[in-house]
Amino acid sequence: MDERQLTPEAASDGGAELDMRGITKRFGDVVANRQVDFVVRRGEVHALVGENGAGKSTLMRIAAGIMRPDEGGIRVSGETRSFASARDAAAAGIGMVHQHFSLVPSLTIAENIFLAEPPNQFGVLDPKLLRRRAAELSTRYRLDLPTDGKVGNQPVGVQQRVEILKALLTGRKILILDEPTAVLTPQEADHLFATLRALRASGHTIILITHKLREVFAVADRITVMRDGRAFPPVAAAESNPSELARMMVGRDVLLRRPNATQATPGPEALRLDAVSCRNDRGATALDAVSLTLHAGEILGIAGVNGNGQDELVEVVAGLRQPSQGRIVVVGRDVTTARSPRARRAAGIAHIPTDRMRRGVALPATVAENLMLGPHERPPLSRGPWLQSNAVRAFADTLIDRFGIRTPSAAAPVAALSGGNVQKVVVARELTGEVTVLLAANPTRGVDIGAAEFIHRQLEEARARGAGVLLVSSELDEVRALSDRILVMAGGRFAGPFAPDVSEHELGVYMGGGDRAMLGSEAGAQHDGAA
Amino acid sequence: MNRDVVIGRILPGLARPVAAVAISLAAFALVLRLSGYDVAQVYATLLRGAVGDPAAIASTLRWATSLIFAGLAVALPLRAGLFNVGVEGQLYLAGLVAALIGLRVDLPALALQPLVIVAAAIVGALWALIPTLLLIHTRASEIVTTLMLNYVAIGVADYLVNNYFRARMSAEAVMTDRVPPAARFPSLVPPYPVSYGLIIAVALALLLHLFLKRTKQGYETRMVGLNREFAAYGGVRIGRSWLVAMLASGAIAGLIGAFETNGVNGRFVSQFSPGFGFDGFLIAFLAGGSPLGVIVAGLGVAALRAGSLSVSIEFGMPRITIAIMQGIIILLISAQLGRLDFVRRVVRAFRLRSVIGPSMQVVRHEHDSQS
Repeated sequence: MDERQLTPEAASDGGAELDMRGITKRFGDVVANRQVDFVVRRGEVHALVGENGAGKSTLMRIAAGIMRPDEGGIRVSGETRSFASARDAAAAGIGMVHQHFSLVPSLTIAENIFLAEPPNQFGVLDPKLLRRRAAELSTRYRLDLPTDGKVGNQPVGVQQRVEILKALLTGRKILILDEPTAVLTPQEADHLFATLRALRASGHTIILITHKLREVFAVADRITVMRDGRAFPPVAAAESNPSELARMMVGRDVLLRRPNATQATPGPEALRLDAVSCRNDRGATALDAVSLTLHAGEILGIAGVNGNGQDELVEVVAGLRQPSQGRIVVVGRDVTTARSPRARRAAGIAHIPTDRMRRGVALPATVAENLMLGPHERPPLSRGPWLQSNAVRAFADTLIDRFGIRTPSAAAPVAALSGGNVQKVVVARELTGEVTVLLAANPTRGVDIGAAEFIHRQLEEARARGAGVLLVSSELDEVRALSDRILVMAGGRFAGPFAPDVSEHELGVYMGGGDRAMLGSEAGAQHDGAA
Repeated sequence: MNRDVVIGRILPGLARPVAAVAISLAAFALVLRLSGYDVAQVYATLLRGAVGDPAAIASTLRWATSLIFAGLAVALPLRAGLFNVGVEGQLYLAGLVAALIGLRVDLPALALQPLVIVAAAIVGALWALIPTLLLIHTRASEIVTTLMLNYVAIGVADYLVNNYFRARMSAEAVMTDRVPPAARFPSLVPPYPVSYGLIIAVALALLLHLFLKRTKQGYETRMVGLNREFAAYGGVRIGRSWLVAMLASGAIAGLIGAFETNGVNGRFVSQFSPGFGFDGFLIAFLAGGSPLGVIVAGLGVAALRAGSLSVSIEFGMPRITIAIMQGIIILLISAQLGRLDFVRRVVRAFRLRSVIGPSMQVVRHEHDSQS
């Protein structure tokens, strides 16, 4: 863990830069924030943590002027403020970096920075001035940006720093970052933390929304935990620890998983890819002749930064995308020409999709209707063309019970469930019946700790029952904790395999598209960055 | 299910259409007022014309027959995520075939009438098959193809009638001869033109309700409509669901043609449909895509149509004026249809997000944050 450069006391002069009092926000019957007090001191890095649906994003959207509270008041630097829009919040000095960037890939970094208000002479764009200003800003905030480069050619970490700079230009004092490391390699995340420390040193106040406890202790001075729309009083990072925070977030003791606590009993080959290639939706090569072998009774982890071909890999195996070459073999049977998801499911492939809202569930349909897709074709759920409603209800109730899905009833729409419970619906459906190969793509993304724990256990149980589990995840901790072997995916190719006790740093180098030769030099750079 | 769940699920389903109708009645009152009409009198006449006496009720039921069919023909594809804008053309060709069979085939009524009905349904289904195959195999938007095939169907039918089947006695109108009594659907309540088509329409609504709720294919159809990607990922054969929904839709459209031609009119008359295919959208939207709701909405719109005839006679008001009210209803109801994935996509394409309201934006956001 990194040493904090400044103690909270030294970084802060004790004044409240952002002071939110009694914030209440309702969405219909749901209370997202109830009487939340949230105080951030001037010049600190303040982590706002909590499970999905705890209300952290809502609170920060209110702070950034994107939403208006039903009750409560906001003071910035001691002045009472009321924001009608993000513009108002920016005028008060608050800027927010969202998870999803709004950058124009074909423009340069400098052009993106000044997209809203380009520097001009009497209304005429001045490209020289624009480039000079951009370079100045990059230097001043120590962001190290190649300002003349096209945004589309930059790594995600650089794009994120462009967003940070844009946020600093609109809101000069308080910077809110929403789950900033979700898209970064560990190395890029370290760079981000260095940037945040530098910004703190220059007097900025930083609020970090996250659910990764490791980051909280790497960079934050103080921490506010939210649960069920309420906020706990803030704690100093120096006086807390991960298990205490986890307990506050979940409301009970949580077993924080230690890496490498798994046992595999690898059996015969369950899934084999032979030099499989495919294109992504834009027609570019997404998989570049990749091969892998997954055995029954093992979890093969695929690590990597999102967007390096993992989605396409899963889709190709699931029958949702056609390979341009190569063979897909399930338990010795070539299924390459069995092109449809239907045919692949018949071959024993189950699939927890990476984007559950897009294809994992039909939100307006009931829990039962979402659980029965697949088994509905066979007895006892149907007989001839007819569904058997009693059998369907019993089937749904059994799964709801076995997987602990928190829902008012089997007849409630899935849209009414929390993210974790929606994912449990998906997991329950996919793990019911005979599973030869389980494709688990980011199975715990956006899911609360309790549900994540449960889902991990389900994956291990599927392995124990003899399924081959392909675990694709951008969360390194998850991959390392569960996998028996690890492959790293970068640029549509694999590196590895690695043993699960491989260092995070080594995986990070491969995730960034590096190779063995870079391990040494990168390690040196790593020290420079932390210093 | 406990009471809360029942109320929670049904009330929002009813609240929107009821509110939409109420608001449009009010807005229409304003239009009437500004045009110098006595609002109370107009509405009283409207009501009398719809249910005021046996003739009025018969008039409502006469329209209800075709409008329930039309509502079902639109609602079923809607549940599969498709817009069949081609009901108009499907019923038109079916109407011609119904008349021709009535004119050319010599069978007793008991055999002839089922033949007419089945043939009309098949013609409607075949005309709907073309855009469905184009959709499945070439991804051609069924909205465009079904709409355009209307013009083809109407043009072809009119051409055929004008050149080959035109009535001997008519100098002006493009129409066929009267079909013989054996081919003519008898009236349930003479002398009004209410045939047993009404019973078939209501029975069909019940059947479709059962189909959607109780059969495998119905369940798959609904899943395709609610989230096509979910259905595909789960192994549902999308094309089959589309084919079933569209062929059934076309067949139901065909029934309109049969009962209008061989029932109400007694012959094929050019331009005989006053826009049933489009009224079908109003009804299906009002019903939220539910076949049982289509019965209610179909009766309601039929009453409006019957009543508006009285109003136009009594006040000399152009009948098109009533269309203003229907237009207002359809606007208000569309705002509810954010629930259907398909409509969501169409609406999104037209950037009407603000009209749909926050519930849809939440869904959108979740989509975004996952991708």
